[in-house]
Amino acid sequence: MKLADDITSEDLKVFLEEAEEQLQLLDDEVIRLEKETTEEGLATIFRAAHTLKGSSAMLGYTAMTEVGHAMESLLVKLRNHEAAVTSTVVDALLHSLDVLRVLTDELIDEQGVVVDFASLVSELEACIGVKAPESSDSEAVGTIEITDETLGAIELSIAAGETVYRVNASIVGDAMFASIRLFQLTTELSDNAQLIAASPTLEDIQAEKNGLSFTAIIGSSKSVEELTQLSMSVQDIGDVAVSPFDVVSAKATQVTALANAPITPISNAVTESQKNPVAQTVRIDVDRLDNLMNLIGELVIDRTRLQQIGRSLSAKYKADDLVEALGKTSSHVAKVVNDLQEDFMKVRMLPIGTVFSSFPRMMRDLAKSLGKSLDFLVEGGETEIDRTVIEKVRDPLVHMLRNALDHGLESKDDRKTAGKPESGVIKLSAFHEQGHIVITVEDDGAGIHPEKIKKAFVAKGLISEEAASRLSDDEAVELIFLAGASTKAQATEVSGRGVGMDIVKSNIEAINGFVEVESTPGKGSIFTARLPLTLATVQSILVESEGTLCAVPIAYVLEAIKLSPSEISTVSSREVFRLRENVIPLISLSEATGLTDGTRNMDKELHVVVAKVGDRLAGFAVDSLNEPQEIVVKSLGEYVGSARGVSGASILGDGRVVLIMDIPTLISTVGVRSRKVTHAKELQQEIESAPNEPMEEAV
Amino acid sequence: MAKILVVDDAAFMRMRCSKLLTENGHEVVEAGTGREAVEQYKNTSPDAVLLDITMPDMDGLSALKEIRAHDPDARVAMVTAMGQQSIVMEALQAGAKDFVVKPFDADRVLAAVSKLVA
Repeated sequence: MKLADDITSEDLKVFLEEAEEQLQLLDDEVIRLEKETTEEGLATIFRAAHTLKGSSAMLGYTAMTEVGHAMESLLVKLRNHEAAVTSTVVDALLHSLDVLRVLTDELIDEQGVVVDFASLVSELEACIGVKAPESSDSEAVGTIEITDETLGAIELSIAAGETVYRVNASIVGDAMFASIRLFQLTTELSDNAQLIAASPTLEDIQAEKNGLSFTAIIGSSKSVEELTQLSMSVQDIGDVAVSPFDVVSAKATQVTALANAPITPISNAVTESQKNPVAQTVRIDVDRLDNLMNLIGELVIDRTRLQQIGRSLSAKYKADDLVEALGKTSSHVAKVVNDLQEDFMKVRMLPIGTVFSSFPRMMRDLAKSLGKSLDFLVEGGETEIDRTVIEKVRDPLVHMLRNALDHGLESKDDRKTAGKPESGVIKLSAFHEQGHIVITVEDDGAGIHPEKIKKAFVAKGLISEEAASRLSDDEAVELIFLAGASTKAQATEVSGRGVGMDIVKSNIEAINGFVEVESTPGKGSIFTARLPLTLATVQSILVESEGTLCAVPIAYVLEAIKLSPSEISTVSSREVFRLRENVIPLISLSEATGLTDGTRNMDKELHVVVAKVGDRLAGFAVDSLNEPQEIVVKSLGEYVGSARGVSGASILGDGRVVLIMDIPTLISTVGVRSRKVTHAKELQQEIESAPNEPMEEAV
Repeated sequence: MAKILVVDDAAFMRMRCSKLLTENGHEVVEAGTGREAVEQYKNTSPDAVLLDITMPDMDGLSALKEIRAHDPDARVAMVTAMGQQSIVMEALQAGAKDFVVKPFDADRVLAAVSKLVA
């Protein structure tokens, strides 16, 4: 692929960012077009295609320019109601988007993909029902018939002391704009001379009834050189010949009238006095934003330190003016830093719509391939969320939506039988609630049948029949978040085999989020994901373990308890304790992170943080527990590399470093699946009957 | 050296154009919509304007008319892609002095600009 010579990587970056926006816009609008055709929608699509065409042409990316141009031509017809928006048209437009995406991707990774854009272009042209435009080079030009009127004008001109010239010129450059260039030439001549006659006339030119050559009779006081130069100043005009006009021989050949078309006066624009202030926006590299966030994080830490030092100082030197002034200044700094942090968090916010926008297309295509009829509704796209979260929320949402469409909605026939409208409804919404963003996926499909899912789990040997029989309906429905939960008889291409709601759950929990489901058999299901607004700060419980200060994100903490040594049993050389109906493995936090070998004073009472990730539970023994607090997450940086079980670090107000525990990783190695009453009781009995004896490892 | 207002809704186009013009000693002011262009014209009184035609929030033609209404001597060249001949024609009638076709080559833009500010 060959691009224009002087394209820098910075240029390319801007081009790609913008192309991405335009493609997204096209995606949305084309899908909407299928539902309802509006002038506004068509205008938006047209503009986006046009921008892509223009920018890609600038880049020298011909393939993209041609696709953009073909789309644009079709859109012009649609806007002028010369063609109708049919499903063929929508398909052709969507096909164009696919091709444009491939072409954009090709710019990024240069896979050498060959795109058959020519066939796409003919597909688009077929929608218009128009063949390639024929060249209109056959118009007659070049001769001026001299009339009495012309002669009169010539005589007037001579009387005024002007010289009469004949000007010949033709288009030598780009013939695409012949009319406009000739229009410019005519205007140029009219501005500097008396235009007596011309062929083609201004009217012909305006009606684009012109060829590539031009001739005129003018009266002017300017010299041949001056006239030649000003004619040549119009781009694409060449072969200019200016010569004195032979009036005598011209008189002999006068025939019909040839009027000198007046130039249309400048139309006065209607001034819309809309005084809307112009919105100013700046594009900023994400890396820079992250950098700034880091610096602000440092400031927040220093602010807290500053306040602590201030307090110590004022306690030490009461009523000292300087200390008091320092106190005032530091509290002002604290306030400013607070505001700065708050405002900056807003800068990092993006509407969740940036993620949602690709879904309508995806859902349309999926529904089509499944032979289902779907009304896909999206609400709350404007809800803002930190960009750190936004990057991680896409995949789980895709899974949830696919699941709703594939497993949730029934086939058309089943829906009819159930007395439901043929079209199923899936609604995706987002809203803010108590410092979280809540995203729901709601379908009006078959719902999840507790009995069916129980059977499936028993059949797969994931739970015992007896255990299944004791699960409540709600508990049974929650089973779909376990691995291998797919109840559909046949795995489909759409959701794959057992695709997982378990993956959805673990992905959402990996960002301190939380997902649950509510389902009514026959009526449908609602999946609700609750996510933190940002990953830049995290609410945590601070704990101390073997002298190391650690933070456990509160989202994972089920509870914090005290255990006496007698409450701890050993099962297969592993310590466990009982918390209500669960038997939970116990491990010291320092051992889990590999800081120590886990030996500890066996007589002492233990502080235990019970953590829960998904359905896995574990108790982490620590030396002391502190109040929960908001901490600013700082990455460990390149120097440390990735430490197992540690997701980041922070610095406290007193300057101490705190490690943020990566609970999902820790728990995946030590945790056991939560066992509800039934199983727990069995386990408990086994523990009680045979303490310290090896037994089969739980799950 | 002149002050040029570059108007295009595509940041990529503005960037290319501004780069070219500043490298050739011009001062550049930018606008991303027709409405912004009118505002910027009033605020900064540029010597010449390179005005894109297809833009959201007031297209180039309307912007041209507003600019000309504000300053009848405004020197404006339209920037256009292929397929917009009729609009260009209308723009020229509405007082645009010239036009440049996308993709433009450097010489043409510079020639158009020097002609505008001459």
